Amino acid sequence: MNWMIFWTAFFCGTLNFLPYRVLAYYPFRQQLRFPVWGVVTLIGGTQLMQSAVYGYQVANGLSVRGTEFVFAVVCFAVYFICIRADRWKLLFLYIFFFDYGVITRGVAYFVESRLFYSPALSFDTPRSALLTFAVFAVTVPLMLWFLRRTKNRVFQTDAPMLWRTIWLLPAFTTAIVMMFTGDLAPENVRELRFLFSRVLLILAMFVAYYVLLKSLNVIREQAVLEEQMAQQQTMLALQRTQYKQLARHMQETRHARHDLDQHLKMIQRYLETGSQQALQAYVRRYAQSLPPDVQRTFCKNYVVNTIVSYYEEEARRENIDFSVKLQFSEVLGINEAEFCTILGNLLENALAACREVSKRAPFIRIRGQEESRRILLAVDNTCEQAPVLDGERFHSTKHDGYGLGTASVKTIAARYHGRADFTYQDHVFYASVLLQTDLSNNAS
Amino acid sequence: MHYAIVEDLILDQNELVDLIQKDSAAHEEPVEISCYPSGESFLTDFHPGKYSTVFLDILMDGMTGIETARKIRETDTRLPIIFTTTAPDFALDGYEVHALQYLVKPVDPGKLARCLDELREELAAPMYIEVPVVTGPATTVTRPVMLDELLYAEAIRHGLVIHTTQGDLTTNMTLSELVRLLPNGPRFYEYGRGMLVNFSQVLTILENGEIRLKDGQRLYCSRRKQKEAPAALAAYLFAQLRRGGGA
Repeated sequence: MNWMIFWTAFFCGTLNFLPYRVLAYYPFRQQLRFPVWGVVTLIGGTQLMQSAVYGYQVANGLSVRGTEFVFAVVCFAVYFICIRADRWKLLFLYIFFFDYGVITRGVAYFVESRLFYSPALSFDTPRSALLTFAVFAVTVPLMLWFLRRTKNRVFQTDAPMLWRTIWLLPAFTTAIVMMFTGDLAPENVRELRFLFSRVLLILAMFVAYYVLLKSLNVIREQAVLEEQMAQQQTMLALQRTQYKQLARHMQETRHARHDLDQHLKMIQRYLETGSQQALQAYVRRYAQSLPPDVQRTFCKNYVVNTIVSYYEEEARRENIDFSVKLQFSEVLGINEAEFCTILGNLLENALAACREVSKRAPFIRIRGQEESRRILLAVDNTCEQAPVLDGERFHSTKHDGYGLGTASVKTIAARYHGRADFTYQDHVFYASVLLQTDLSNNAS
Repeated sequence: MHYAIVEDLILDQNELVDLIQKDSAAHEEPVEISCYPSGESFLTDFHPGKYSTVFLDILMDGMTGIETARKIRETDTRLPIIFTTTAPDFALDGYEVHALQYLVKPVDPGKLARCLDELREELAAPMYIEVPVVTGPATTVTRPVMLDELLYAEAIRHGLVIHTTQGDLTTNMTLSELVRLLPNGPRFYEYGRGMLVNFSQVLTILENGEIRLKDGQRLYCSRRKQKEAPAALAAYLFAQLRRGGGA
């Protein structure tokens, strides 16, 4: 075997692939499954193997296309193993980086064929590799800028069915491009047609990606709006109930005033006739029958109070002990609708669980406060058996549209750099939600 | 135990005194009770350390119970305050004073008993530890370190540096010796080898293991503790919340 050719091909192969691999890992440097040195070793190792195989094939005049494909698959496998992220989204981005390589090589080979044309021109030379690297170096800042803007959007959009199939679009397009422009005969490469077909077809991909991500954004916003609307419907329903309660209380007050009026008349009469004993008996009798104070305010925040009052009423109706200690001011440190989703979810779950409890006295205990730029909320309730926590949905028969149970609570908590923990012990279910209210200091 | 009662209605005052005395007798503990007819009269007499607890009536003429509580908190953040009120209405402006309990009048003896038990538990918790502080080449002086003032401690060669809100102290104790002095519980946490933090002084712990204290300082968890530390902080905060005290 000609070692000169081997090492030249080895060098070309490495320069042709390694920069793109490093670029592909760069946006995920914080999400690696292994420590950095491990990943670097893995990349280095597979690159070494790939370059060696490539070098051997070139030195012995074997076709390289087949193994190139095999190594592309191996590289993706390594990529997937090393990075902690959804595999379909990773595949989507991986093809993106692959296409970047295809374009830079296309541009470099075109330029080379124009400047140094000869019918025997081969693109497996160090000159080609260096030209390709030059194109890469010039365009990489643009790539990084583009990545910075799109990576988060890709990873924040949750649409599993979509991601499972959307990678096929760039995959097929790339396959077509490779089929028609993969033959690197110099007389074809020097044609503008070669350059354009590679660049345009793949630019079309960039546009498709962009349009796709923009629409994913719209989908995401729509989902958020829908949830907000559902929350508002629920709030309206709760307020309707509160109005009914208020009306009832107003009526009770009217009765109480009437009764008070009567009592005062009776007391007046006893005083006028001087029958002190009769008066004492009267006062004692009616002191015992004072109606309980039913209208409670739990905290200064109107919305939180509305929700808690609603559940207090429900709990009272079913003889569930309801204990509340809340310390919130009029204005919450976070979006009220989101906090209400959390609170509503937890209370709905608690109520449902208490309804099923038969062997022990059911209770719901709510503790909450806002301090030191964070909100703490704890809801404990009796629970017959340990619930299965996995995106449960709790629907009230009266109010549709409470989020997706504990999964929704966790999502919102994560958005506020907080946490939601659920534990179960001795027939009591404990929900603990922590939310950071001042996000300015926590931006990383 | 020295209780103070601030109540403008004599009947309610006497009733509360009666109940407290009965409860203390049942626990065989000596008790002293001082009564005041108004917030103003209480404040003229009050200074931190004088009473173990104060019972404040909310609805009073002149200075209300809440205003009195706020004035107390200006000089004493630790004194347990128990509000008594005729209405079970919790829409109080005074949540920031961190009252221990709200009792509804007429006070139910059972509820008062539970309240006083909670008080005893709260007051039994130690407020400071004695630390041998290195003041000179061969001299150490035992100094009290208030637990509320302890920020964090770092191991150094042959000892520890204890950082407090009142300054730093050097001691030749080891970290494990310090841990033995501190009360058990989730409040004090080892966030790395030879490093201990007081969770009540922590503002937040970020996902990358950075601990931000309330006074702005930043500490860094060891790699191993990065995942566990935020969970430990949450455990402490929720334990406090559920117990009913301020975090």
